[in-house]
This record gives sequence, C-alpha cells and structure tokens, in this order.
Amino acid sequence: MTWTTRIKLAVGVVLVLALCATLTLVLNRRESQATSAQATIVAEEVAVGTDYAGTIVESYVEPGDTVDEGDPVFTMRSLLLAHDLSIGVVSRKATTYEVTDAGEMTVVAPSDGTVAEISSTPGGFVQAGDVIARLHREGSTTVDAKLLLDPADFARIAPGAPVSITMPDQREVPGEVESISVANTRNRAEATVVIDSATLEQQAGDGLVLPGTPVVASVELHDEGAMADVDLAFQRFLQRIGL
Amino acid sequence: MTTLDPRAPELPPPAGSPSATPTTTIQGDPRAAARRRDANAAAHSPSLMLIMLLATLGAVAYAVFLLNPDHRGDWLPYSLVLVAESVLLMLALLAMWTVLSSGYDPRDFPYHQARERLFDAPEILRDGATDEPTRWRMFLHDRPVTVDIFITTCGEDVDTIARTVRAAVAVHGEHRTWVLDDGRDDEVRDLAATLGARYIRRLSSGGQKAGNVNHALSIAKGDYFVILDADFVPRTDLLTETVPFFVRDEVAFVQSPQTYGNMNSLISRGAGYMQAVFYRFVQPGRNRFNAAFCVGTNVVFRREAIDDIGGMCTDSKSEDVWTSIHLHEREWRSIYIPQTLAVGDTPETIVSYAKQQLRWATGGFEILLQHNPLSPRRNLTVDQRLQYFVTSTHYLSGIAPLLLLLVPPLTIYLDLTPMQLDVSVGTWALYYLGFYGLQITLAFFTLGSFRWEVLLLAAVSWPIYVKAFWNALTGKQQAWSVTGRAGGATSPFEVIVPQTLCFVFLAVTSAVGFWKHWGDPVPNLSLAWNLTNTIILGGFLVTAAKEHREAMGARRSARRAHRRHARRAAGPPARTVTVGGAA
Repeated sequence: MTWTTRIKLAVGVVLVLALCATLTLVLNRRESQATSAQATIVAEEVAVGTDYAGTIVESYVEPGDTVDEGDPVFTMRSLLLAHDLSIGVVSRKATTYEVTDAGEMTVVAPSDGTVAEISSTPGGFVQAGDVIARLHREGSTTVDAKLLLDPADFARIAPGAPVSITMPDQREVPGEVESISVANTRNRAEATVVIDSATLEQQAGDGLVLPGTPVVASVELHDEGAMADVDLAFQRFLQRIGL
Repeated sequence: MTTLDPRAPELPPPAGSPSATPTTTIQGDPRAAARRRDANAAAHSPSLMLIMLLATLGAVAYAVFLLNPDHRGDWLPYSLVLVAESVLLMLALLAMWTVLSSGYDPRDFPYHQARERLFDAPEILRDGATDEPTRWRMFLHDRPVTVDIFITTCGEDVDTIARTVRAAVAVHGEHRTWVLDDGRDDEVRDLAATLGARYIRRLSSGGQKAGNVNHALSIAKGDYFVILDADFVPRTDLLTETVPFFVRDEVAFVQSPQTYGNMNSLISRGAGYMQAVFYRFVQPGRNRFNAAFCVGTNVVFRREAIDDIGGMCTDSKSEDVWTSIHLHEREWRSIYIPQTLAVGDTPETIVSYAKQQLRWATGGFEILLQHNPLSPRRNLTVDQRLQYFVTSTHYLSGIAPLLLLLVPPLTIYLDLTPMQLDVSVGTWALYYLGFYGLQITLAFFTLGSFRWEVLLLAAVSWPIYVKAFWNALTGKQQAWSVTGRAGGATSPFEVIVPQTLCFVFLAVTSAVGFWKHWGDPVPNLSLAWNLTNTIILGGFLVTAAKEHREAMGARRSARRAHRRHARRAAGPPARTVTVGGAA
C-alpha cells in the first residue's frame, strides 16, 4: 500500500465515523422525542347570552377585540324585562349585566378574554337563552396533541416534560406537558396530551395563535439510555457555539 | 490459381499419423457439428421460452408493485429504489429479449459450401503436405486468401507470449503469424524468431492496442487478419471455422468468445461467469440483429472493411466496440459464433478486474454520451440502435447497487422508508422474489448453475462504474493511476478505498440498528438488509486482504531476490546484512 492510500483510508474512516456519530445523535434526538400525529391550539370558550328575548340596541365589540371582565359587550331592550323590573322580579344590578329603568340591559364580559364570535347585530331580535357572543377566556390557550406511542415510550412521558411547538410558519414555541390521557389503538398508546405554553398565552389572538390552528408538538421523552449524557453534552456544545 | 479441378469434398486422412489432428474439424465430422452447438444449447430449448415468460411476468409485477402510489414511502429512499430498480428491470427485460433471440445459427448454406471448398486437396497431396495443416492454402470463391494472425503484446510474461505464439503458428491453414510488441522486449523478439513468427515493433505507442494493429496493417498486407491478445491461446481450427464466413462479401468480422481457463479464484470465477452469460447468450442474440460487436481478441477481420472505416478506432479505450459501431454504420455485417476458438485468462486479482471493468464500462458510457446510438444521425437499423443502447447502458446496472446500499441506513438513521409501512414483509417478499428469484432460476436453467460470486462482485463493484461514468462524462482519458506492472504486485487496497469505507459505514450502521431495535418483537427488514450488505462487503474485503498478503509477500520476496542479486554483484555478503534483509 502506498502512503497516499493509507492517508486516504485513514481520513476516510475518520470522516465515516464522524458521519455515523452525527447520524446516531440525530437518531437519538428523534428517539427521545415523540412527535404529534395531530395537534391543535385550543382555548376555553365563554358564551355570552341573555335570559330575555328582545332587540339588540348596540354592540360594543367586534370579533378579535380583547375585553376585560365587566366591559360592556352589547345593550338590548326587552319589554318583558321592563315588565319584570316593574313588578320587582329582577334586581338592577347583577354580575353579568346592568339594567336601566327603561328596560335596557347591558351585558358585560364575564371574564378577561378575546371576542371570538358575534352572532347578532344591532336591530336583531334574540330569543331568551340565545348565545350572542363567544369569548376565549384569557389564560386558557393550550395545545391538544395526539401522539401514537409504543407502550414503552408512553412510560417515558411525564407531566412537566418540555415540549417544542412548531407553528405553521415554522416558529418554535416552548411549552410543557400539563396532563396526559391515553387510549389503546392497535396495541399502541394513543396519548392525548394537554400542553401549556406561557408564550402562546401571551400571543393569544395574534396572527396564527388562534384556537383551531394546527401545530406540530414534539414531546421530549424521559431519556435514561446510554446516549443521554452524550446527547446532553452535544446539545450544550451546540448551544455554546451558538447553533 | 492454376487448377480449376473441382476440389475433393473430403481430405484423405493424414497418412501414418491418425492422432496428428484429433481436434481438427475435418469436413463432415458429425461430432464437430455437435460441439459447435453445445455452448448455448439451452437457447434452443422450448422450456427457455416458458421460464422467460414467467420471468417477464415477474418483472412486470414487481414494476407495478413499486409504482403503485399506495406503496410509496418517503420520497428520498423511494426515488433511490425506483431509479435503481428501473435500471435493473429495464436491462433485465432487454437482456431476456436478447437471450430469447440467441437460438440462431449464423452458419448458412454458403458458409457450409465455402467450408467444404476451403482447402484444395489435390494441391495438398501434390505438395505432400497432408501432415502439415499449417501449409494448407485456404480458398474463398476459388481464389487463395492470405491471412495474418496478430498477437498484440505489451509487457506480458514471456512464457505466456511463447504459449500463444506457438499455438498461433500451429493454427491450421496457411497464414503468417506476427508479434506486435508494444512492450519493446528483445526477449520477445528472439522468441518470435525461434518460433517462426514475424516481429513488429513500432517507435511510438499512440492509440494503444488499436494503434499497434493499425501500424501492423501498414506492413502486413493479408486479406484477413486475426487479433489475439497475448494470453489467448488459439485452437488449431481458429481459421477453418471462421474464414468460410467471409464468402459473403458484406461480412466485416467474425468474433468468437473469450473463454477462460483460469477459473480458480473468487474474482476470476465471478468475472468469468458474468462473461459466460454474455458470450453464450447475449452475443449470439445480438448476432441475430446484426449487432454483435468485436471484443478485441479472438476476432477475424476483413481488411477491406477496416480500410473502409479508416483503420481501427484509436480514440477510445474500448476501440473494439467503437470499431464495430463504425462498421455497422457503414452497413457491414458482423458474425458471432458461440464456439471456443481460443482460451485465455480472465482477471484473477481485484486490481486487474477493476482495471478491466473500468476500461469496458468507460467504453460503454462513452458511446452513450458521445455517440448515442438512438440519435437519428446514426445510420443504424432499429435493432442495432436498441442493442447498442443496451451495451452503452449496461454498466448503469453496476451503479444501481450503490443506490440500494444507501436505503437501509436511511431507514435506520432517519426512519425514512422506501415503501409504505403498511405493506407487509410477506407481500414485499412475494414481489421481490417474483423478479429476482426468477432471474436466478433463469441463470440456473441457461448456465446450469448460479454462482454467489457474481452477486458478490455485482454488489461491490459500483465504485468502478461510478468512476467510469465520471471519466466518460469529463472525457478523462488517464484511466487508473495505479497499475500493476508486470512482475510488481499491487495491493488491492489501492483500488478499493471506497468499498472499505462503505464497509465501515455499513458495519457501524448495523451496530446502531441493533441498538435501536434491541428488544423489538419482530425482526426489522432494513436491519436485515443492512446486515446482508455488510456481510457481502466484508467477504469481499476478506478476499482483498488475502490478496494483499499475497501481493506483499510476492513483493517482499522480489525485493529480497533483488537485494541478494545486488549483494552478489557487490562482493562477499556480510552475515549481519542477511539477517537484517530478511526482516
């Protein structure tokens, strides 16, 4: 063998081993993550409605507006309400509405949140018990993710595990597992995970952070294999060099 | 020609020596005709048709299985598999079509008639030459023909050359034997003189073998000439079997197969077996389409045809195929007979195998890239276009294994699968064997056996073909930087660096695969494939290591002999040096 060949072989072996090592780290990364089959942003919905039939006089908000608890949402006029007032069945002031003597009722927001939907415009008639507006309660934005896991991997998910949520525009948002529920599908665990994310809550209502937006959630699995320390060291190294 | 007597159809048996010509095919010998048919006897069998039909169905079913959109996996491994398998499927189907056409005998009535009248018996009797078939003049159209046998040498072993020259001089029918020595070896010159051959040495060495032959053609003026490589020992019936074909004026050359006598190493068995398919079935099939091509040795040319295209083609490393395509474009006919007329050596070592394959593959790709046979500018028939297209794309099948080798690691490292996961292993195996299993059955039927060495060589030779494709694409002529000089052994690791690295990669990947799938209840298909590939490459490397040891041993002993020689010339040897020299 000539020296050129020997050097070629040596350099080649080093490169091949480096390639294998990188690919193995990638594999381990993927093995220690579970990626959602389906994940969606959800939020708690609050319905705003009325107990009295009547005509809407004025609407104060539009879909997408942020409201605080107690902010007026709409005013309506109801003859039945005026009658009930006159005989003293209802009081003037309740938690969710204020009533004037003329029988006009102003419905207020029951909690902080974002207006999701307005179903009636001024001049419209509403029946008793109708929902007129829907709010997304502030602080209730979470991600619901469905994961298909091997039983062994299911054991590696724990509440509090870090999650990376990828938005449709490829933005990554951190979060953590809040609760887990599970069903058995063809002997695989179909886990439904609720993910909390402070960042998502702050951005609720902006741009893409709306209930119903599909996202991809990668849940970090508890890693206790031989590669865990190596992987951690590698990640620290990547952080250090700024990647 | 002085006599117009009708020549006797049978020669009188050589007086006094019945064993003098045991292998000569004298006209009318029934055993000779049987021997002639033997090489590709299976091509005449109706069962071949049945197996071909089944194999075609298997190939089509496999293609449909691969192309079914429901089975498509991730695009990267899927396209790798699709490209590789498409090439293999297309070439397999075209090869089967060619093999089906191989039950065709080019010997027609004019041939047999010319063969009967090849020698002038009264003349032989008159000259008293019945015992000396090398003095029998040959006649075509009742006119004497002159034949030259060229033995091209370039630094081969003198013993090898002597064996060939001796056999060439002894070929029946009057001819002149020439040694065309590009090795410029005085020993070879003396040898030629001793054995009664003529010797030509040229001043330049341009155009390699083709240039050598062209130079000889300016000196030797025979009507026909034979080209023999230095290691191909001709049989005595070389000329009597081939020359009668030239009774048809449009025949440019008659090619006979390269048969190998040294099937004793793994490499030579694999390489020889691959060649056997080509010479027994593919070339006879091509013959039917008038597209059999010259393979550079064991071939008889009509001088007029070579003059017509301006000499042997010297632009390429594979001058033989280029010369053939030029002849076919000038509407000459070519003949191939599947009958052994000379026995030679196939590459025995990895280095020589790699060199040979690189030369052939570069030639094939050169035709594809520089002289596409499908182009409307070529003056070829549809049959010839297709056959040359197959020739030029044949070595793509050598690159396909590289693509297939990459698929299991993609699955192991990145979970990218070529097929949809819901395709069960059983379904896949059914279709896969429908194609590959039937191809092996076909090989069993046509050649009587199947050699695992072929699969091994096919799976590990891709770096050669990738390099050949690159050389053809960039027009790089300098072929191989490391060449085994005569006498100096080269380590095979000089030429198999890619295979070694690939082995390391696959071995590590297999280990990672085991770690990944540890404890899985079902064995993993991609891991099994990857292990198979690792073992195949490993086996090849073991062969290489063995060769490496032999080469190193040979070199060391050569060095030692050289040193001893030098010492003897220098004076009395010192004892301490002897000890040091042996280490």
